[in-house]
Amino acid sequence: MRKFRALWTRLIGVFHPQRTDDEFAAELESHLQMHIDDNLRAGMTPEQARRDALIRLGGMEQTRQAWRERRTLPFLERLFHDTRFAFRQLRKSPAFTLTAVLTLALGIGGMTAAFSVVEAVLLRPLPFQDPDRLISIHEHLARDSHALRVTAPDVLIFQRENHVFSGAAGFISAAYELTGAGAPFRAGAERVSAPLFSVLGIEPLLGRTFTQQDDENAAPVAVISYAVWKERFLGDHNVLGKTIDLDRRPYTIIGVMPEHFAFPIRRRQTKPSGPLGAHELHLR
Amino acid sequence: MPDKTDVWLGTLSLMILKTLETMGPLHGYGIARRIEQTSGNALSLNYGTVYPALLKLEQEGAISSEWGVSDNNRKARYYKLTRAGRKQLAREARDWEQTIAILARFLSPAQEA
Repeated sequence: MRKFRALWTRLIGVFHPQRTDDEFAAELESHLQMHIDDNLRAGMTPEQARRDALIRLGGMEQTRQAWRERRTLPFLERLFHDTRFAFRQLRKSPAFTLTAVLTLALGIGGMTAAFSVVEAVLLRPLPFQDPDRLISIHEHLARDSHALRVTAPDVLIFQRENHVFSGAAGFISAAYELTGAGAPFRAGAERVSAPLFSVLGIEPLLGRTFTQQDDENAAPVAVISYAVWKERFLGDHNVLGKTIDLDRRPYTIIGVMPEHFAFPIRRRQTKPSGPLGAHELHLR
Repeated sequence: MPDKTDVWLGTLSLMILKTLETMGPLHGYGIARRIEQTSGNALSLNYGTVYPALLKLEQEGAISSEWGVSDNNRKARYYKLTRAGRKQLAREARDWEQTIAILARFLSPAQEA
């Protein structure tokens, strides 16, 4: 408690010294005078008396220095003074200040932007099961490095004949006019093959995801995002079995995905805007 | 002439507190003088070192100070014990006596035998 009180006093002293250097100088001066008086009474010459008093004190400047260091927290005080000095200098040359601040702002801004991309694309693990075992398959022509889409029949072949991976699935982005759930709107969606959700290892929040049977029946079914469920169906738990129209074709809702599920992952995607899986593979 | 002992770290505060208890309100010079005399001139004390120690005690609330006038009509800053200071003195004095008693037992074990 005592230590804390002393520390507090010293901290306050950095900004509002309770006892000033001048006051301490006066105190030291009176100390010397009293000592000199005593020395004179003991029979020294005035010169001797003053010299002796100074020596016994241990030096005027040393004493002052030791006292000052104890008065406040010296490193904080210096920091405080340096900061004030820096601000004064900056105020004196506004053009330089502006340039420096702008340079810093642009630099920090640029770095932040670059880092957020790197972080999202390279550093952050994919929010799926076993992200290091997920790969993306593309095809390309021998002379052209542009990735081509894998055709739906090839996707089926991969799904059937693959012995290397525990699963394979295909998806393709699409946009639909979504009606039958509040006002019509343009919804981004993915058309996916059945094993996709098990490949990603994500369970639905409600209902189920697509099965092989869905693939074979080609009965139009959809899995909707959490956002659509909350906003369009007000989080209704009886949403399963209801129908939405995508481009005026009816799809039965069979599942709702968890809140943080997004697929495919896009940069700056804040929330999935539509059904995540509009299941509709017409392969035959 | 035998070497004078330096003031052990941390003991100066205690000496100052005790001096103020014995003498009542006193200025820095008086305190330094008194400590020297009490030690029988066996301590080498730069008078200047009492000032940071006084400041520390004041920051800790053990003493308070105000300007006054000395016997010789000199203006001087007078320090006096606060209630917290008296308690601190009692506690520290007790601790020291204990320490000394324990050490004494180690240094002269013959008495026990």
